[in-house]
Amino acid sequence: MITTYKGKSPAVVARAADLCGWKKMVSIDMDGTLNWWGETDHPTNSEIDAKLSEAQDAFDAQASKREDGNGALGAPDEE
Amino acid sequence: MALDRLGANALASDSVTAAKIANDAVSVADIADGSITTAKLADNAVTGAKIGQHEVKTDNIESSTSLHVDCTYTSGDNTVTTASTSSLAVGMEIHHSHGSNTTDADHNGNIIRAGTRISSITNATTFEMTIAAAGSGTDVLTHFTSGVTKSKIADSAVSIKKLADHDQAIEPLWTRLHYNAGANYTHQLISKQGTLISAANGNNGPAGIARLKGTTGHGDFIIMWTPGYSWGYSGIYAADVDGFVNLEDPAWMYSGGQNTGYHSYSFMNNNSNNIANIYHWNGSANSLVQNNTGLNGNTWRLWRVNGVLYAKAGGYANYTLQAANDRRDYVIWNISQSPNSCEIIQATRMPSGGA
Repeated sequence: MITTYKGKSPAVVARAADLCGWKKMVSIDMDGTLNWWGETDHPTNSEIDAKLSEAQDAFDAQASKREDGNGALGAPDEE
Repeated sequence: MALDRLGANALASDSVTAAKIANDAVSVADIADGSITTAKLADNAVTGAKIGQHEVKTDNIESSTSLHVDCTYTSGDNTVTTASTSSLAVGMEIHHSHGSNTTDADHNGNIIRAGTRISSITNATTFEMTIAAAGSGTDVLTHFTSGVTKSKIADSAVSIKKLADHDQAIEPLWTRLHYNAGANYTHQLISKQGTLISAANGNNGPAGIARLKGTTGHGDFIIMWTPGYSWGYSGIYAADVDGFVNLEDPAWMYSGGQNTGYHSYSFMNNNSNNIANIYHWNGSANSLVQNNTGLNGNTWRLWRVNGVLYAKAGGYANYTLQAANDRRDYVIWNISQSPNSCEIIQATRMPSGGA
């Protein structure tokens, strides 16, 4: 299991959370831990880790098609 | 008989010259207290190495003066005439009245060269400059300064806390944009004439962080804003200025403002968790002080009246963040998490008192 998410893309982590069915917010604190902002029924780190590769692939696939390289989930189409 | 003392009249006046005094013959103990006068020190003889640390006190610094006087200059001449030299003093810096000490064409005048000072006062209407005038002019409004002058303050050396109160005042303007989460020139993050900072670039996608211009000061103030209502948190942080080493540091970081020993507040709104919360960092721990359902399109407020700090999220009840004696100077910046937004509606100090 990943012990720190420091250096990970917050957008990839958000995608991984979404793949786990989590539609609420998640962020990475400065100490590298995931911040679920008081929510208790969030995915475990192991569940997030299991989706990271898939999330990264989806991020990269989207980013490669965009001028701004943005692979974040839900990013609006570029003009 | 050994001679060990000369009578006061044995030596003619001015007969003992420096050549007759052996090296190290005069010790400090031989010099009477208070006997070395200014006249006995050569010009520029006291160097920095001879001044101990902390020996120059505030009282020893000449009081700053700034005055404007009409003067008449002649090109190539150090002599200047004026109606009265009574307010002038040797050593004063001389500038064109608009504040420039340059002689380039963009700063009108072209008379006073950079670094010019008064070298001597000749009489009631005439003085000499250290550098000859670069041009001629009659009754040229001239700026004289002394004490701690502009030339003694390095460029960009004055931090926000050293500015006049009015110039420090908080304004409804997002400044000092900082890219976050991969944002770059392709993303417009600030709009509406600098009052709206927003990011609609996917979950945790590219976003921006910016700071409201100025600070709240220690007195009454009011800030009103409309946070976004989307997946990412929208809102502001307010943190005690004293908790930061240097707000002007280009690398100043926009974290949560949770500095040890200093207070800060977070005002957070989103729709994914559907919350509109206020957190208080008391210098050592963070606590949720107001827990509400998320708000869509409502105005939030943070204000202080006579040391009492209040907040109000949309239509929810007023909340007293501190009941008395809040005199902290707060700096404000936005929460950055795409998709989100924060529009500042009003931000001002209230020097005559709030309500």
